[in-house]
Amino acid sequence: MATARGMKTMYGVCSHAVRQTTGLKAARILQQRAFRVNGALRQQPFDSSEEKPQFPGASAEFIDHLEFIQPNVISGIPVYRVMDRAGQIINPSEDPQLSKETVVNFYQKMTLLNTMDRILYESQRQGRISFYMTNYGEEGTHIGSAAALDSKDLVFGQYREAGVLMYRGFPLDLFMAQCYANADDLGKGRQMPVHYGSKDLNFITISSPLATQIPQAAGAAYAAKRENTNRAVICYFGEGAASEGDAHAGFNFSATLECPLIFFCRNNGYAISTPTNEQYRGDGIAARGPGYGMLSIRVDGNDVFAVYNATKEARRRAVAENQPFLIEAMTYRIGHHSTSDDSSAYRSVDEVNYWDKQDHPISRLRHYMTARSWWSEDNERSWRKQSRKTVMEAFEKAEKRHKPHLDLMFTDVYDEMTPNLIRQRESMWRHIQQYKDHYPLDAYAK
Amino acid sequence: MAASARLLFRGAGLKAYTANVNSGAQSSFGTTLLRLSPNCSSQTKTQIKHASHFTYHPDPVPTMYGPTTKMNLFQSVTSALDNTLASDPTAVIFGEDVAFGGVFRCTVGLRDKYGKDRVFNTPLCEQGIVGFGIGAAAAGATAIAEIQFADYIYPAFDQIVNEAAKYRYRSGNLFDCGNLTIRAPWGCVGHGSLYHSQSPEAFFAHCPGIKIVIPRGPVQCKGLLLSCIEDHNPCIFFEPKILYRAAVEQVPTEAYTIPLSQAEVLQEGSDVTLVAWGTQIHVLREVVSMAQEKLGVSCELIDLQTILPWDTETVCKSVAKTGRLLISHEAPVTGGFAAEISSTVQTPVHTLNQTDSNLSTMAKTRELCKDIRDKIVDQHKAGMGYRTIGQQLGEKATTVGAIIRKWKKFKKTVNLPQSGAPCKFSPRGASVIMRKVRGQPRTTRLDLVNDLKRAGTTVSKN
Repeated sequence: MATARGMKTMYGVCSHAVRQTTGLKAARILQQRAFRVNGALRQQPFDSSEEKPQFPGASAEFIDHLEFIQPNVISGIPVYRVMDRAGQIINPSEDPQLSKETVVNFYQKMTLLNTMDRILYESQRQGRISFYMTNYGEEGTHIGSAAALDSKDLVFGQYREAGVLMYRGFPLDLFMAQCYANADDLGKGRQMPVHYGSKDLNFITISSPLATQIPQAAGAAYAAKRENTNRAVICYFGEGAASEGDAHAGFNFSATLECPLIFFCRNNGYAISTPTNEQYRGDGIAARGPGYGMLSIRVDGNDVFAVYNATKEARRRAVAENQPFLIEAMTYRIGHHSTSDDSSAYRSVDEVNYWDKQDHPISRLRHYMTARSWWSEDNERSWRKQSRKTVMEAFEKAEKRHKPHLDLMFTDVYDEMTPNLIRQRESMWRHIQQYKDHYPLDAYAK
Repeated sequence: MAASARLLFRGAGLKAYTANVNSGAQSSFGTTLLRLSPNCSSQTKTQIKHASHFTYHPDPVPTMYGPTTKMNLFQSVTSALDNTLASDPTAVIFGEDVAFGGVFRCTVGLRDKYGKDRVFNTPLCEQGIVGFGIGAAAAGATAIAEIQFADYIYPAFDQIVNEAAKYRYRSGNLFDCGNLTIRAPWGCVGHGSLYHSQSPEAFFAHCPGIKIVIPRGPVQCKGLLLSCIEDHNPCIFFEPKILYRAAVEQVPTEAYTIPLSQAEVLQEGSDVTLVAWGTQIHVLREVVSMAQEKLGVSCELIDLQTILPWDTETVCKSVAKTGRLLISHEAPVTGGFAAEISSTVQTPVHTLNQTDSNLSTMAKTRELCKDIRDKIVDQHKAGMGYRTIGQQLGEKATTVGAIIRKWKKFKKTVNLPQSGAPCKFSPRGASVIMRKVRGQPRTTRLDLVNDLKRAGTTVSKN
């Protein structure tokens, strides 16, 4: 399939200096698999009668002329896609042939996310919430991958994966509650907006430091493997976060410890203002996978079906074979990094418009649906109206809710409050009592 | 950096592995005993340098935890881990070189006994080790991570401070990594130099959400380590490496726990409170006996055991009794944990919370408000008797009498010195007092009065 083809090309590129017969290549792959499966076994016994390298660190052939291996960034790992930019299926055997219901659901989730983004971005501009991050242009990566997973698979995200949560059924009320930090927030109002989390939906709470979730995902996958309940773990991150040491740690650990884990990199072209040519010099993130002994693929992130197919196959094999997979989803960040960013400072409006108009995951899927008469202009109009209405309702409700109880500033630091936290809480209440004119408590839950 | 220094130890470990396992892979660690060659019968100067700087004082044999056996510190760690792996099927132990038994032999035999999926090596990456541990813990496994030396824990600082410590709080208690315990060899060993001797507890003490525990010997080590593993908060357990072989005690073979956040008063005393943790406890034990012998000073020795959250009550109660505090630790003094302890002990908040505070002996005359006192005086001037006045105002006759007596003597109804009232001491008098008190903290009020009289100032005892 696409994965095997990609692997072989990669192989050819990396070792083009070494003359290999196909037979030897096949034997090599088998040998490597043997090493991985029997991780604890030592290398074959040292034997200097053969003219083969005996080093424990690498098994390869000798070569007698000096040649550096080309990183080969010009024609790197190819991008797997199922639909073209107009939403037409290119290779019918790759069409996952999902039901109308499923595909319409994909579309509705992507557009609902888009609507919620618009409204919450505006609300930050109006001073109603403190901060927001939109997902414009990356909805395909969220929905495609989320749909390919089991609901019990654990998700470690970075911060631009709200669509995964939305697909799993996180209610609008709770999205809003977290952004408004009101009393309904599952996180008890302690974090900045978009730091969602849900135990029921197996979505680990987002944290601000980048890439810290990557080695954590490896640990969680290892624990899932030991539990033996057919559970996978997926870890999302951007191409910028992939430069962190934690990313290297996570990749290496998951490969050496044989974890059922999918690494999903959203390569959207920018890390705030830093473009990819300032982020890395190699062939993106997918090219790093083989360096760790990991099966890797690059997909068109704006093609929901490509993302779906790759994630589905990766998940199946990760659990069956206890090995990690790396999926690099190429996409484009249409919105600003966050409400604190104005991307016109570092990129042209034309560039953004191209992606918005010519290669958007939502429009491509709509073309696919309209071609099959699964979605009409009427559907579009009524769905836009309905989704906007539900978002606005949740929004207005969230605005009116109380903020969390002040005691919640002191709980959950430890499982049980320590004596000095209890003292500090009492001291706070005394202070508030004494200066109650300066501390309006009406907005807070009693 | 870390890699080059560790070459030393990898070499030592490898040597032991290929040679004789029983000879001890850690010959270069712990208390290096005097290596006297057969020809040399006396201690030369160079040999004295290698002798350890303290004597280990073992704990008495514990009787409440069942049968005991002789164990040193690293064996007590192995025992605790063995108990844990036996009783908790989700428990896993991982880190650099733990599979063959660890560079300090803390995990010897566990991989063979419990399987390679439960005791395994990780790649050489502390941020990965702790990150992996956090994820495993969050997913429900009991994760016991080993950092090879506390000196190398810093790459994991972000994961510990920004992630592990805040996991529960930031998620609103949806998720937590309470199942995580991080172990690391800690403290001076004599020859460890910059990077095999550090005590980093102060860096982490500034981080709410984690617990930091340091044992003084094998019995405490096993009990405290088991408490950390059981505890529903991420814990860092520092093991004094110099005690790994030097500290030998009778340790219970069954599992037992010693409570966290409870300091232990090892010896009661009246003149000064000594606080320490880990290796320094044994140094201070010697100090206690030297102080008694040479200075006639009675010391109260406290083992803090848990650095975070620390037992403020025990320490403050002791200092309230003795009036003096001395803290000994191995880390740099600026920002070291002694600074936290001494600042907390000296904060007035604590004295207010204690019922045996000295401030509670205020005279009753002060408690009545000025109006009532003036009324008493007026009524007396009008010729009323003490008892009558007392009955009228609802006060005891003796109180009334005291107020009137004071008024008669000082012509004021308020005569106690108030803060901000002008000080009547001359600068010379004041300096005499300060010199005396600084030199001898046990100066009494009478001594001062007599001294000042000699200096030419008369003061009242008030």
